[in-house]
Amino acid sequence: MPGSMLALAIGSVLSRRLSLALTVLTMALSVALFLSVERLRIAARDSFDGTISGVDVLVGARGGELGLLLYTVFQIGDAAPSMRWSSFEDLAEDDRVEWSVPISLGDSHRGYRVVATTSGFFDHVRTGRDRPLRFAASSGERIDDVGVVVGAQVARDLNYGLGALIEIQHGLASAGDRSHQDSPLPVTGILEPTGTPIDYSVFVSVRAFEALHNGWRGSVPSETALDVRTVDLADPAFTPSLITAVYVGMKSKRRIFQLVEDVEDYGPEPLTAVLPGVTLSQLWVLVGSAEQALQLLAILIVVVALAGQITLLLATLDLRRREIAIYRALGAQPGLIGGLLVLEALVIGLIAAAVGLLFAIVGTALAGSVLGSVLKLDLGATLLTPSQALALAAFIGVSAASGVPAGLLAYRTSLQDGMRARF
Amino acid sequence: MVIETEDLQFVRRGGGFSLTLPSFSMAAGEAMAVLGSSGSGKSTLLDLIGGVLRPTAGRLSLFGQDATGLSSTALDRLRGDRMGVIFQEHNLLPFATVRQNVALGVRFSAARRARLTGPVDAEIERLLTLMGLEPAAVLHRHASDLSVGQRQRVAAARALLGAPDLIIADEPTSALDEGNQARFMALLNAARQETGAALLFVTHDPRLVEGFDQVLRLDEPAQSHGEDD
Repeated sequence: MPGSMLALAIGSVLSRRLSLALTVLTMALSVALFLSVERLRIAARDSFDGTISGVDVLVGARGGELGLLLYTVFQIGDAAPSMRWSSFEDLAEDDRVEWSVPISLGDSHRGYRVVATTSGFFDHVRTGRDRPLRFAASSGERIDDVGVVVGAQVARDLNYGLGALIEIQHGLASAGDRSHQDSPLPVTGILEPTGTPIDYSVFVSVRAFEALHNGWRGSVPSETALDVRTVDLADPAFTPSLITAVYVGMKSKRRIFQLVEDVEDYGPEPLTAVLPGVTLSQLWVLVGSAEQALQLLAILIVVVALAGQITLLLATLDLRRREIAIYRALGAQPGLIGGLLVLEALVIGLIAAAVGLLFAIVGTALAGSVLGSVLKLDLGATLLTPSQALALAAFIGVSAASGVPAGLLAYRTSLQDGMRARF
Repeated sequence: MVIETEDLQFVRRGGGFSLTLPSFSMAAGEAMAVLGSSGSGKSTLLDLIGGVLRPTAGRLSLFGQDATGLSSTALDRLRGDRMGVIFQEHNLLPFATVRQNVALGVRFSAARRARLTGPVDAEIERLLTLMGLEPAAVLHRHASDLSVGQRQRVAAARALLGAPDLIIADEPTSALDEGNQARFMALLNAARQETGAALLFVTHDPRLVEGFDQVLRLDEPAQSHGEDD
């Protein structure tokens, strides 16, 4: 019997298909928006949290900690001022430091940021939950030579394989006349996807990076440009004088704060030491309210859609008085008629949730590459996280509950009308 | 007795309409016509017998039970189990097929389902045939695709499904032309006599009351005051 009542509820719903289709569409879009916002929020947090792990201290020129972190690690925001190479060497020689990796930024390749570093970057930097960087393909050469390592998304977007020659552009411009066109560099490694900005990065050695800029004055190209592939990068001439930042790994975590204090008091130049985890927490405090506002907005849109469902059920109730009278005449009790309205609301909620989920999946697939290249976010392949599944179940529950007002009214109407609809 | 009333009175809450009915009784298988003009209280009488209204005074017995002492739930169950109802019009769910509409007759009553002598589909087809319809031609059509006359016959088939003891027909021929009225009445009478159901037939047309075992007239000035729905 419940199955046949469901068939009647579905039949009744379908008989008002146009108005209901619009309501379901509104509800589905609100569900899709909510799920997408949640997915984006989770992806943003995962991406930020997972971009660097294993780096205890980030050192750069004196300035804002957050700005340094965002620019160096997440490659967003304004360029950070440079620090001296000699400061990096001092840090590297510090007894408390287990490893240190220099980072130089500023150039690009076809819209992707170029990160100049050493092979230590691939040995020490972790992503996510202490996940080491892995190569999907490698010619076996270390980056310290003229080879280029590209992130997974760069390789995919630009269809690069091992051996492909790429030109580094000076600065973030893509104009050919500011390209280091005399020194196309070969791709010697392709990283596995990490879901972080690393996927969108092009890695070269700091010494090759320095050689590329040999003779350049600011953004003015050199008239005596070198072909980097033909020079000895071990030549002291190609030791960088300035870099953007240094990633530091400590021998003992207990000595991190001591090192931070020493860096802040470093004599030769003013430096800033950033604890990535702590600074990220500060960032989340800053963006937390915006994140909550976004969530609240998405929830409000869902609430408005549910209110639309209640309105529709109430508005169509008058048209359904004959249907209710037929059920009553056949012995249906008022409670069952009220239940039928709740069942109908449940059916609407289920359809809206399913369509909304479909919209969210399709929308994410379509927007994934755009969000990836603009925000460097990997939205992931998970269709529904546990929290999203819970939210969807709650939506269906609330949708069914929103049939209660119409159900109560139908109950009252059926008592008043008896076996005949009175108009 | 199917119905027995004694000094039955109904006063609508807040006043405005009151109805006093003569005592009457109706035996199993009997056909009674209730004749009255618009506003005479015919609908109120049906609601009282159907158990959706309660009498203000007097005694009402349905199928040998004192209906005035029954709960609303018990009255709903009694109606579903033992009565079949045919309305003036709009008897069918327009979005459902003829089969679904007729099957509704036993959907809310286990007792009526238990009284089916065979599979529900076979019983539906038998009743549609009794009502002069070709089952194969109408069974899977939507109610909205039928003519008014066909709809009323489908409604009658639904009212008869599960062999209820009493068929309540509320001016079921008012939307039909004269020829179809006579045909419908003949089919309904034949079908309900086959099932053994009593018939309480409400009409405002004196021409239709011929042949009934009893005729209850509601037009006496003393019987109703105010206006019925």
